[in-house]
Amino acid sequence: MPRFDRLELDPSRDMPDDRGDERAELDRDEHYWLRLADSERRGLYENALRYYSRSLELDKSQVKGWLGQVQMLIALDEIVEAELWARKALDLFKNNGDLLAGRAQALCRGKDSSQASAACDAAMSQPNAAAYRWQVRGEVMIVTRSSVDRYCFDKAMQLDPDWLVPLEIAQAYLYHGYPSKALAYARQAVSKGADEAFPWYFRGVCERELDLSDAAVRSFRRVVEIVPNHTDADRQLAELNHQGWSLLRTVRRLFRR
Amino acid sequence: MQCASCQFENMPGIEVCGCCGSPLGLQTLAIDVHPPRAGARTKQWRRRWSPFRSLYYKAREAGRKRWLENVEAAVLHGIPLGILIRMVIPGWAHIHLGRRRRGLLFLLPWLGLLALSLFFIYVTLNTAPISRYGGGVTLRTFGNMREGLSLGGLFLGLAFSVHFASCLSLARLQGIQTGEFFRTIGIWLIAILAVLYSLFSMFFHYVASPI
Repeated sequence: MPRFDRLELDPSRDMPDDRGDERAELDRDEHYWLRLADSERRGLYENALRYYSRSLELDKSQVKGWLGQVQMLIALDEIVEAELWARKALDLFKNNGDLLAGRAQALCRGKDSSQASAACDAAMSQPNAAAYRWQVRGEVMIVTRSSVDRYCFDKAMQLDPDWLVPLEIAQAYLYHGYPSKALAYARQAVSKGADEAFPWYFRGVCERELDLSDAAVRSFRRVVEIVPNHTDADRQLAELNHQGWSLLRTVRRLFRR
Repeated sequence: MQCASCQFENMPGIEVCGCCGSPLGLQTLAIDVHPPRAGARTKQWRRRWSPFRSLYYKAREAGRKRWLENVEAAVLHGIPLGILIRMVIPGWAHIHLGRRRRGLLFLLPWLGLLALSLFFIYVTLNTAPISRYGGGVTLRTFGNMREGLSLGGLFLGLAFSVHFASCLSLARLQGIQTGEFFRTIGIWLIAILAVLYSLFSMFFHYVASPI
């Protein structure tokens, strides 16, 4: 018989301490913060960036944390900062393929296509090319107007079947002004993650960009069904309900790519 | 000790990875892990200027491809920059390369032709009022004003030919064949010389014009 089994201790008093220990242990676990950041990067970029920074505070040697920060800065449209941060990370992890790809993406979004091509080539020359590097290569191909962008994106989706890959491809297309191509990839993301709100939301954004108002309303309603208090979707729906005919929009539709 | 970047297993006590050169003791390094951020206004400003930035990069790219690459190709074809600069005065580069006699052979006729050109333009412009009243140097010497001016232009054209011939001779001295010369920098050189001699002509007219 164990020695302390018969002691009359209040179990309700022990529970919070246990949970507190568990919580404190999780707070010290950098992988926990990385997992949290990965779950938040599906639309909640500010939170994801904060979690990546938290994981790096615990362990600076995680390339994934540095890369995540660069990617989040790009997603938040802080291109100059992302490029600077990628260079800083590359000082620590020399010739790291993923970080080079991150820098290439930042340069690409900053419209410096020649530097982006050079960084992307350097990234591809490193071993173990992951989906992200192919994705960035495809984006560089969009900017340089090369016809092999589709091949690179197919390769990226082959390497990583997650719906986040087609969604990020769609984001790249939309950023560079190709909403119709973006919509095709957003649809693929929706077909892979139909129960997630973010692919539906982004599909709605693409449809709205193409002036497909009815389809956009359907997509945003689906977002609200999945996440009832989705602020952005509610705002988009309100804007769509109140918008009238516009000459500028009609002219823009004629010159859409 | 395993490298976080390339997973290479290093010997204990080493500070830098032997495979990729990344620092191994990252935990002990004092680095700020919080990235710099841009404010909302900065982002808005950048978005507004984005098309201009794109245009700037495109222009830089085009410039690098068309102009600089042609000049670089010329330098790579065996003509160093010092020689290219000395081509401004015919014979100077020859003298610099130790071909003094050939250099003087280009330089002296060129100077003579320029002087003749200036002389004819000067004489024509300064004696024109006399010729208008049925007398004067121009009428007696060259017939009329137009003939005097065209003689000035003719000598300037001859000076241009001597200049171009000196450049061609220089290219041959550097081991570049005539066809290759025309393919690489010949066209550019003709254009530059044309501009240069137009400026010469304007300068001579300015110098020779009556006060």
